[in-house]
Amino acid sequence: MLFYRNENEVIKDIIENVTCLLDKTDLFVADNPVGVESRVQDMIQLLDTQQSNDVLLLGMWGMGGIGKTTIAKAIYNKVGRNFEGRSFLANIREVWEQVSGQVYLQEQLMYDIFKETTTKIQNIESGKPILKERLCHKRVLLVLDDVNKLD
Amino acid sequence: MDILRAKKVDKIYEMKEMNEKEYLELFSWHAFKQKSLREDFSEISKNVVKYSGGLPLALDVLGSYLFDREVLEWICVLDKLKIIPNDQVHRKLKISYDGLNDDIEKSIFLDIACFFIGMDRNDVIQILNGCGLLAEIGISVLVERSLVTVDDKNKLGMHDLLRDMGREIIREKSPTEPEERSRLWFHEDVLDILSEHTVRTSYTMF
Repeated sequence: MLFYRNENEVIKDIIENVTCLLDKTDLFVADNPVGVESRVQDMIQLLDTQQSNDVLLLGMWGMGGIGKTTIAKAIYNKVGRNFEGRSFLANIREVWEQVSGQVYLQEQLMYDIFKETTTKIQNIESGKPILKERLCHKRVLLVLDDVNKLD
Repeated sequence: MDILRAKKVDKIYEMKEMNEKEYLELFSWHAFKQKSLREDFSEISKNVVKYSGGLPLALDVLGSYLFDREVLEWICVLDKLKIIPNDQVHRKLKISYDGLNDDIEKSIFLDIACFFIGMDRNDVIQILNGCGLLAEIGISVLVERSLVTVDDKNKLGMHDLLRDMGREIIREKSPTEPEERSRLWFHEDVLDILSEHTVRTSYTMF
């Protein structure tokens, strides 16, 4: 057979395809994405250059309305599946200031990565070690949108 | 930017501005619902893009506003754009808000800016209909104008700049006295007013 492939490979392909189709967690990017792809590629190159187990922190900046969030969502959709888990925390600046907003963000993160709602976080401080302990063995993609403070 | 420098960020990506071709394509999608400019509107389109302040967001909003309009209205918008400095994008965005047909649409826009971002579209329609607004049509208009988005999970969205513009419209009517504002969205303002003032019936709080 001309296009013979190993059965394992074919099954792997099928599983990837089906998972892709079933996974409805992709984010809505834009009806008419113009110039998105080239910028996404630029960013992905930055992510790719060092393959290690360390945490890689990638910052994106530009003025409001220039399309940072759009690009971040597109990257999340595109490379997120290569990670063991992914989470997109939107609107950090505003949520952070709300009562229990910080705990909400921690819980959102837990849910996105582990798909469970049973872990109850009492307050921001008790949440930190829980997240640290559970996330340190995983390769995850975490997108923080609209961050304006250091802490 | 300071944040990125201070925290040990490994890599920094500075968003590339769009080039002229991209600007015009994005604008065309909104203003003409096609990939390229319409011949008869080509010159004026280039001018609108030039004076829009260089942000994709502004092109979405202005393009959507100009869709299906007569050339005279285009000229009017262009004249307004020209007198607003390019760094004051929020004033350029406000042209679209000012051009909304009636107070109901404006009201729905402000309500969403203050209370409903991230909520389910149908729930919001129920709430607003309960307040006597024709929310179904109103929200459709806002979506057509790119002032509000509805994602594939039916959640309402609004860009930060538009949200802040909406809140500023409310704030500037009474900059120093929150109790005089038509809507209260910041919890501390709400608490202050509820504990220290007599509540008027015209407040909207959720």
